[in-house]
Amino acid sequence: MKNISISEIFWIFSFIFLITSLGIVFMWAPTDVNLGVSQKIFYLHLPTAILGMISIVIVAFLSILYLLNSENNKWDDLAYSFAEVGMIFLTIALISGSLWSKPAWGVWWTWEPKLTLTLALWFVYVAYLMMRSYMSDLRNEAKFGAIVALIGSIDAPLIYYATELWRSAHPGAVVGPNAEPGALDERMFLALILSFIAFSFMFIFFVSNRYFLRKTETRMNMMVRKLN
Amino acid sequence: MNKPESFEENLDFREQEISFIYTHRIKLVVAVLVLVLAVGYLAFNAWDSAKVYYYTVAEIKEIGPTTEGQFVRVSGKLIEGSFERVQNTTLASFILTDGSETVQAIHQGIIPDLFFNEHSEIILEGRYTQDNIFESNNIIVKCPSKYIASSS
Repeated sequence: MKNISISEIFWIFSFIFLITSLGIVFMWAPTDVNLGVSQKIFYLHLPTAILGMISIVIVAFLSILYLLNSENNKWDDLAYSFAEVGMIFLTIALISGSLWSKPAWGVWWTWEPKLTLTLALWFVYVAYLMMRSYMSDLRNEAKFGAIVALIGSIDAPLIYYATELWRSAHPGAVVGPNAEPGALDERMFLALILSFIAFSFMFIFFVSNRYFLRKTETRMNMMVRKLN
Repeated sequence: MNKPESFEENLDFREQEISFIYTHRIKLVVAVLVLVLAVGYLAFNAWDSAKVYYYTVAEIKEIGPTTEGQFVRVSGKLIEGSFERVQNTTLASFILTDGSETVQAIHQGIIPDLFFNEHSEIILEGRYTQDNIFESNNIIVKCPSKYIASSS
């Protein structure tokens, strides 16, 4: 039998779970009484938003690990990969949120706290990636990246608690420590968990692939520097 | 930059590099300072209108009419049966309440689907005029935080 790499396993799991959750979401999970069919966007919107938010915290954590032991580029390469994929997921969350907001709220966008903070986090990712690409020295690059990621990671819990802290248009949390009990229908919750698992596998698959690529990039950059 | 060969050349090279970094650092500090001041000024100016996303009906009545060119948001529930449309136009008038106080509002344009849902909270963007009428430019419907299965 052919050898299957870890990344391929993530790919296969992500594929299986995605297909299953698609079926569950559209054929088994009930339609929402107020929002109707547009509520199905929820199963894309929430997992991608959570992964995009968690990602910046992971980037900050990995950056600290790198700063503690900067001999090892592993942590920085991993942090960079999480940042890139996290930004993609947050972008999907923002776009799907906008598409949902038009039928549900009546507007494509409004400057309410949760949305504004999420856009701010998106800009943190942009800042992180832009700044790193402008710097020539890897050590400095990682150091300044770590600062941006650390500041940005404060935003993640703020986004989660935004509906609690300020008046907003966004509905309150339906999962996690701030969730109201019974905020989500049981079958909807199960469908959500399934799609969350599917997107998590996809996320890990992207990150692991990007990480292997990034490792090679870093090694190549170092060789070029040595040659010069 | 070419690689320095002798010791003297190396010193020269280092000096050049240091002065290069130094002048650029000053530029960077100035740029950051300008940016921080600009953002700070904007934030300070925006604070009054942005510290809350919307006012309640009672609050907007206390604050009174909006000054020219200013936009505010007010949130409340639609009073059932208060909705009226001027015939053959897109002008609508309705009353919002926060439970105790009420405000008369008018809106020109499209009304979102969930506007008439009894669970919805309505946020209006617009001006509160001298005649105590809220002239809405945008309607945002805040839907309930609960997702409930429809019976069908």
